Amino acid sequence: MGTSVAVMTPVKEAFQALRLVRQLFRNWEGTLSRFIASSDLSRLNAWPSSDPYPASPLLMQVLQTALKAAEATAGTFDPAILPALEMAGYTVDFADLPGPRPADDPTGGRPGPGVWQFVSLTPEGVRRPFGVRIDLGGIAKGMAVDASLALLREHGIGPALVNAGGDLAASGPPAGEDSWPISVEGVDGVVVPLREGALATSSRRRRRWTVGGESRHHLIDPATRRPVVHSVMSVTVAAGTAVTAEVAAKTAFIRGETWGGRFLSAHQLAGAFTFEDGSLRNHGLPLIPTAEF
Amino acid sequence: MADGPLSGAERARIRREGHLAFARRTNRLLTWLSIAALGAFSYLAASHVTGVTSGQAPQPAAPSTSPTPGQGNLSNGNLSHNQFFNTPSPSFGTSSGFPVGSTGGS
Repeated sequence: MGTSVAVMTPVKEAFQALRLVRQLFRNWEGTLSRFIASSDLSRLNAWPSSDPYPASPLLMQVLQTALKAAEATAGTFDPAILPALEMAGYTVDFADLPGPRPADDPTGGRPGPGVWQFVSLTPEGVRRPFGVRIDLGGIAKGMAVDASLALLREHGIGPALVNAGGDLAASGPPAGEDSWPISVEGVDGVVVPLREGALATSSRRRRRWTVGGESRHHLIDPATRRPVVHSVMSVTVAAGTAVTAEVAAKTAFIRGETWGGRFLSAHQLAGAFTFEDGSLRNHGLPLIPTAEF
Repeated sequence: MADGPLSGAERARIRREGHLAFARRTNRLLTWLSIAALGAFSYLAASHVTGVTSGQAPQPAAPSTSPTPGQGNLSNGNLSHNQFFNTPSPSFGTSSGFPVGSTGGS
């Protein structure tokens, strides 16, 4: 998934936890990565017709959640945004992205916005119009974090915290502690004291590159099919699950501070926006000054 | 040809040619109308049957990315906003400490 994964558990359970979570992420990546040609997702994207593609249960499960997220955000979260993402220059695993690239096609990506509505899941498999391609990067990462925690619970391991490149979830506070102190990207000197639940951040600080001298990032506005342009640098959201936090953070980022903030309020989600000028706008996220050591 | 009253045969020939010219014009017009109707029908059929023409995916109207107040109650299809985001609330502590993890970068 082009990211590092950290697992925190009681010491005596650490090796077993690591083995379980590593295997789970390997399975998920092998099925859902668009950068692995043999993955189930890559085969779906290359499926040469609009007949149903016989997807694996895991791909069906993640795609179903992605379509629900698209519906619940009125398309702001769009799993069929891949062509626009590639037109913006995100064509290989982020670690392999080269430096400056030639300017892209000014017509933007195809197919057009809202095309996720034509993707459906049937007993025979995934049905989508020919040419529609899917990206499940962010939502798969959030779901993998939730699945990891569930797997650890099944094996009686916990309390645990799983962090996949900033999408993280905890199944309870560490033994003898009040909470997991979690720092927030772009906000110095404070932590979020997370006991149970999840935090996710959508940010344009890291996954950014340059095309024809123009700075690009991976957060695409489905309405314009181009990277979002506004002063928000990142949005961090707390929710019950990592997948919910991930979808809410991305939606709030794309909509911007005003509408994104209203979106969070409407769903009673706490979040925080950071801006280019270094300022912070907090929408109910508990931020506590970092203890002095 | 000398001026003078036309013979019956001459009048019949002119009438026949006039009719033929009218028929040709009418035929041409009907042909064009048929082509236009066929084109319109093909377009409607293509867009209704699969939504895909010439290998290009359909492009429905873009969903709004600028929500309006109250959109939190929007029910789009059979799933409302609240159903997807209705998960148990996270819980927080009160004490600080050295960060054991960081959220960010996705």
